[in-house]
Amino acid sequence: MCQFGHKVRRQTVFVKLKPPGPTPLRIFGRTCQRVTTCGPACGSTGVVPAAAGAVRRLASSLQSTSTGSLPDYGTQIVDPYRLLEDDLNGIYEDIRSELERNTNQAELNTIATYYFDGQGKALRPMVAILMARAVNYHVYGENSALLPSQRQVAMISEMIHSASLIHDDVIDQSDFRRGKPSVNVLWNHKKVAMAGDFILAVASMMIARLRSDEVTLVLSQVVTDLVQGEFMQLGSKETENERFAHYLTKTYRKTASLIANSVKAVALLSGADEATSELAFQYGRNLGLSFQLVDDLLDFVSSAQAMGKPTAADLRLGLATAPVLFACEKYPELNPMIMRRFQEAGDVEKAFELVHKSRGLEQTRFLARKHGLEAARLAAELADSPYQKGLVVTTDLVLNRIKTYRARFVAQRARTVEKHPSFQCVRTLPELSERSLLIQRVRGTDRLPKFESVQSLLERSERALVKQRVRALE
Amino acid sequence: MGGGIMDIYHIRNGRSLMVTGWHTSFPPSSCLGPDSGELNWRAVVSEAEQMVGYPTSFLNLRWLFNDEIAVAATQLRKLVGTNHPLLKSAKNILVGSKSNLQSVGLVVLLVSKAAGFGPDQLVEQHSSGVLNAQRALAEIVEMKRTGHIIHKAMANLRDRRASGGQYEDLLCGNKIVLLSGDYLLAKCLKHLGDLRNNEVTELISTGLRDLVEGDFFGEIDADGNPLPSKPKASNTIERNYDWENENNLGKLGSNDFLGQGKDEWKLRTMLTSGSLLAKGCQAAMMLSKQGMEMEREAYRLGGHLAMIWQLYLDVKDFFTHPHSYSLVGAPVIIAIWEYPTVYGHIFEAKLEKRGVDFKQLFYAVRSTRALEYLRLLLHEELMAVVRCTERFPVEDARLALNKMAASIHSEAVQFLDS
Repeated sequence: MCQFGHKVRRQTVFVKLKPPGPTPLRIFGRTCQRVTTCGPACGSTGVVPAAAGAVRRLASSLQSTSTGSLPDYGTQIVDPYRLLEDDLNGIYEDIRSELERNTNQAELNTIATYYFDGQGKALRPMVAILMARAVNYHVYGENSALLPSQRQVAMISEMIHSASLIHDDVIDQSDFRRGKPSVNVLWNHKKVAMAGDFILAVASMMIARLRSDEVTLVLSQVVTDLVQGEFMQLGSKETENERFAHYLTKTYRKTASLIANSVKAVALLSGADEATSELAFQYGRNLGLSFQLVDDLLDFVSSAQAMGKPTAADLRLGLATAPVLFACEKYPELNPMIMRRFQEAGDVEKAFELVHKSRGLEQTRFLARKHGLEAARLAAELADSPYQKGLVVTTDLVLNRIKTYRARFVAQRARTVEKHPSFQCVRTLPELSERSLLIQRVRGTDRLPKFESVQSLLERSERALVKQRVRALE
Repeated sequence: MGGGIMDIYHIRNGRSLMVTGWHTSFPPSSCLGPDSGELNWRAVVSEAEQMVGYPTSFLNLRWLFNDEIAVAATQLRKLVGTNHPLLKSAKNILVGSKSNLQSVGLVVLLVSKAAGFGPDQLVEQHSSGVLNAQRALAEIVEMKRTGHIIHKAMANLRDRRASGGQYEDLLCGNKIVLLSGDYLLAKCLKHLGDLRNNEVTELISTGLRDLVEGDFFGEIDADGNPLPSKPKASNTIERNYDWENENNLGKLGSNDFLGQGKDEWKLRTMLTSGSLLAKGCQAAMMLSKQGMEMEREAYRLGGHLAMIWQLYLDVKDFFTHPHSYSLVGAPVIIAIWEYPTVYGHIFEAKLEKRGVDFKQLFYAVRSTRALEYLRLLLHEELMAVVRCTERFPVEDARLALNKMAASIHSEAVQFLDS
């Protein structure tokens, strides 16, 4: 029993072999929610036990989670999700309870908590907590714990992210997100907009409660950036050079800003000096940019393999992402298509083809890798610790998503999708044509499993529905 | 009487009202200042604006000349010819009127001035008796309210089928609405951060939360309009809604108050307008470090002002739109509480799945004594405002606040008298 009277769980983590890859963060139910993980000789000295030491032992006993595509880290192979399991475990629950605490109205609560069911990848909170622990280790050495305020920042970043997803779903009219119907399909636009505002209001309250002026400024900048990024998407620029700069700025604002500013905030809360905070910011920025570039790449790549025909969600939304912009060099006929946002018939297919024929995809991959390496280089400047290793591993996870944990995660998600009650909606929305089913908004969310076609998905859902009806009759 | 946005309302002299009204204790002229003879709303407001150095139009052109707003404006062209709610609300948002946002910032500034500030504050930047931080706060509160109102102008779109041919246009309108509202709310957050006062940030954020909750409060009909709840029996009431003393950082009230007549109306008013205004006033006190007592008083003052404002709006709505007034306005709610059979009109409509017969309900409400009760309520709120302002030292701002409340009161009573 640890000093707080809770059962020490770490033994089970050593021994138990879980399925590889990150899992929905709720396996062990209620855990010791306290900031400090239980020390080896609990009840003995100090508030902060040698958690890092224990974790190092844990890390070395972990099996590699990669399929060999990750570089070798020596004996210390770190899966950041498992490393931070304790910290991440209650994140979604805590967010939900915070939202519930702030309203009396059941419908508002339902809509607001719709995306906080623990089915997301939790990348942003994970990176925030990872950086928090790494910077704490850097500044205070081994005996450093995760501050409650840093954990709050992780929650806040996930909340801001979800609020922006909710609003973006309305704008992009997406149908599916994270394996279930997106929120604008189930409720009307007005309620959805209000729910997004609600989440933002609660997140602002949480930011203010941290009682740090700098952190408030840093995190409120995120919201401004997100909105400005969306606006940038509405407008478009004339010349090629402007376009790429416009694209990069937009990408920074929409994706990287949240990650960069939340890791900067945790660094500030840890009491790090300005150089370290800036380092954290740049790490987050590079990580975010590489993340989005890979996403844009996947939009062209995975669709071709998975569906057997071009889908290209971004093109259909009229957005010119990195592969297209790179392809413009070789095929200037893409320029007018970009200007008219691929509205004319045949534009999308033509652009798709041209992008594949050009070197656009390679160049995007190269740029993503460049940002990833830069992030890894920055992370290496922090003091050595499993968390610092975790930061480096994360950059690789982001780059190699399509091969490693994502494929596993997605496959596991596919199994759970079928059981999700709201999946029945697939049958009740006749206007979900094949095309719209395939249009899934890119932003670090999951797509349909690689090897399943739409046909089999619909068949599966029909079978599930029939099974359910039969069960109801019994 | 009634109607146009720029009307000038002439109010009868306070003394002569004593003869016609029930209540004989209309606020003594000492509360209103020496020349309170003609309570002209426009005059009161412009005098107050001059007193605090308020810009005459909220639409300071500086936030219009902005890249983002320009982009949104170009998209607005596509909306012409559709029936998107934004076009109806835009008029309200852009042009000032009594039922409108402009005065929210003005009230915050007046309260700021009325409280004055201590000697240690003189080192801070101030002008016309108001700290610059308080001025920024007033703008933030107005922006938050505007952002929320813009979001409320979203069309109730859900999927392509239900909306028919206008889907694309309505969707486009919704996108603009969403983005513009988000832009304003994001700006608010940034400016709150610039104030470098996290207590204020927390308080104002709870204001936004309450605004959203107000939209989900109580029953809603098929078109998204709120409906009154079934009145409870008097012997089932456990407690009344005491908004003056509750912890305003947590969620306000509870759903228990639905069906409790005046309590339901008060909670709804607090959620939809009172909370932000009152919290704005409270935050102004925080910025000038007036202490907990004054903060509470400012909160109460803001709340009562919002109540009397809402009473006026409800009364005006009821009398000027006898075929489409709000069903959760004060006249209807009070009537339902005092005479539960009136709820039958609404209940029947729900059961038979048709719209409420507004005309019948109108006459039903008028035939009860609910309107007399409203008169009492108006008077009560006015007295409460006057009572609250007594705590504020600076004379001219205090009088201006009293005058505003009194002119609103008079106009509402005029409707009731008609």
